[in-house]
Amino acid sequence: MSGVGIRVEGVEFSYPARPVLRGVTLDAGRGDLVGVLGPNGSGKTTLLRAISGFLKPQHGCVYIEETDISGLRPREIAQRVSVVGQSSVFEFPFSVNEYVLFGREPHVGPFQSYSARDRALAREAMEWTGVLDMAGRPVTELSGGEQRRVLIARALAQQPKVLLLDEPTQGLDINYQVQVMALLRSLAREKQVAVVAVLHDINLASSYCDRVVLMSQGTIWAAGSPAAAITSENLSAVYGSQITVSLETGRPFVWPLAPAPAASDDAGTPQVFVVGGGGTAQRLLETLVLARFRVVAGVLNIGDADWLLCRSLGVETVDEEPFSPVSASRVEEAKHHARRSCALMLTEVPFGPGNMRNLEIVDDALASGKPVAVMGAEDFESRDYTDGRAKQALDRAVAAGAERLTDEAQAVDFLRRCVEWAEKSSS
Amino acid sequence: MSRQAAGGGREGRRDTRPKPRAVIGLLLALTLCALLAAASTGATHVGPRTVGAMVLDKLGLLRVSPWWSEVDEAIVFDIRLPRAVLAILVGASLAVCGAAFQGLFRNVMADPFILGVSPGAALGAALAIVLKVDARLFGVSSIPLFAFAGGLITSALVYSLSRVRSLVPVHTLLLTGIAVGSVLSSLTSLVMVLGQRDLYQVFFWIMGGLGGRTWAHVSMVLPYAALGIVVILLSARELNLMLLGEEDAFHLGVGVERTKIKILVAASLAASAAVAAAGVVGFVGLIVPHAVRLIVGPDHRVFLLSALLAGSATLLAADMVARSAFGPQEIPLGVVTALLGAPFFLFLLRTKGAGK
Repeated sequence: MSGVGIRVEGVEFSYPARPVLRGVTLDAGRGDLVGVLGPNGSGKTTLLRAISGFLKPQHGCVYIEETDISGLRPREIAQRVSVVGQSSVFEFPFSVNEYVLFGREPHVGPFQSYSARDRALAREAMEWTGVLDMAGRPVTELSGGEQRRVLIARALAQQPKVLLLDEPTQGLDINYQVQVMALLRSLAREKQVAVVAVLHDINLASSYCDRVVLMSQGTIWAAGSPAAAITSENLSAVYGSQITVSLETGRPFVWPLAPAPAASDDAGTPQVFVVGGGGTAQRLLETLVLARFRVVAGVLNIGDADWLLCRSLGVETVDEEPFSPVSASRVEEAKHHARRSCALMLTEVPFGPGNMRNLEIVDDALASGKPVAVMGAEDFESRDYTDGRAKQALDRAVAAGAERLTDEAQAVDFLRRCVEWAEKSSS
Repeated sequence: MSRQAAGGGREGRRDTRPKPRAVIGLLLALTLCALLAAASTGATHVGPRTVGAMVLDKLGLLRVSPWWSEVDEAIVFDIRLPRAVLAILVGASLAVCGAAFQGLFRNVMADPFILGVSPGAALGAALAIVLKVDARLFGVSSIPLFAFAGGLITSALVYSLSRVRSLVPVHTLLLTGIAVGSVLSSLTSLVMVLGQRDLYQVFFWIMGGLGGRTWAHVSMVLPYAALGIVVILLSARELNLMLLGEEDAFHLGVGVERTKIKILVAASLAASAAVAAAGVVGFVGLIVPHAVRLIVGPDHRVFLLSALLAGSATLLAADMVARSAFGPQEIPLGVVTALLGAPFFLFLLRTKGAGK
């Protein structure tokens, strides 16, 4: 970051009957690509309009490169800020070239015409956005996606210090979505533009933005690097729907589930207890969460790979101190959860002295008649770091009726059978 | 490199729009021809060459011994030329105002009377006629003055009624214009019914015409029409950007509300002046801009000037038809513009529209 491009300080904006922004403070440096996320009606577009000077906030200030924009004329703002909005009109048959050249208007004097440089900048902008070969076509005849790219070209031709975009990828196919985001990122980096984009696609924001701002009801709920701001807790709180975040690709990757069930539904959701650790539960956890099971996992050391995943998936855990052996009291707590579950799943986790006690949970579940399944077809010897004690315990479990499963599809099958069986036996 | 070359080729191919200079040159020539023709035609024929020589002689640009009679000179200078110049002013005003409103409202169905200028002017004129207001100001009868005032007051009223705090939403403006216009139209009807004896005169005035207009009318209309037209012509770029939507216009540096007020005031002035001079001449302000845009495209830097010239030529031609089609009996100008304009418009719509 080199220098502050945008600084927004305590901006409040209300329409006559409805407050939209309730004190928003944020900044974006030159060279930053900032994604603004949030549910419909959270104030994202209004925030952009306040930054661009189109709406005058009732309280607070917007600074562009340290200049308070409330004192600037529209033309002076337009020399610094360009906007790709949602309300552009394409009813009049200007050619693409003419349309992009309009981006030069703030820089052209009242009695001047476009210079060779203006034309070159427009051309360069059209080349970047892939609309050069339609330069002579009337904008009225373009598809929605093509019009979007023409708008972006116009904004680029404006040579802004700050570029604001309201859903720039809307209406674009996946190829252009990625191209536009890559273009925005390189524009930010190479031309030191502060780019702020309202985005609906959280994953696109996560993959390309340097920082994201998560808005909720006119305030900023969270802001920071994608990894810091895009968490399951934040998203679920803001969007009011269960949202799962995986960190597998290095940046948060998100997929939504159906809206979070109400408390009464929650009581009816079948619960599964998972014994894992060390990342062995990853696919199983994701599968079970997606299949809408209520999952409790344990006992896990705080900071363990599976523990981290549970955090981002919103899965409840029975925790042990970091790098400490599993204690008896934690095991008792885990047994309690396991008895209330319809089944217990054991992953291919290796057993050593530290987590040997977790096998007591398995024994207890079998003893109380719970269905138990063990993932992985390999011999138990490969998971045993306890001189055979773990292997013995596992063999005993299989002898006592634990099923062996090879993949997650079988696991879901197994659990469905358990649920049916539990329902039959209870009725 | 090859891709650039291909792009450049297609960029160069452009659409079928003609060259702006050619269009404007052609329209200018057309207007001048129409002007000469207007000064020549009538009961007494004075040849276009003679008219040209008269004018150049009067301006001191040509030294010839006059081969025309003083009566001919009087007919050309005192009757035909003021009428022709007024036709140019009215045609130019209506076309440019229509073009500006169509741009401002982003609606090709807008015309110069959209703010209620014409019903306001009609009411003003009807009152002046029925109440026999006999004031003469600057050598002009009270009728155009009342019409001018009626037009301006109405547009100010419509504007202030549609203000929402400091903003003037265009849809509110359009609807307010229609509502106020219908109130004023019914008031005009009321005035006409109550002042039955003058019904014919009011009716004829409202239908529009340039009969009996003098240089006094020209000097009354000229300052307002010229001011309005010049302001609009200088706003060509802002109007271009307004076509992209108000938000986009702002982001490209246009002070949207200021521009709206500027255009509304300028256009109301020019349109009121035009109505004051010629009565309600319909269709020119709607059709001429529309037709011109179909030919030259939407860029106001070319479009406004073309509309100005096309409007002038159209009204000159229409007025010639109005005063010569049925012999000594003049027919209302508004009837001519509607009768000839509307079918031409339909023809344009079908041919140009089918090409899209």
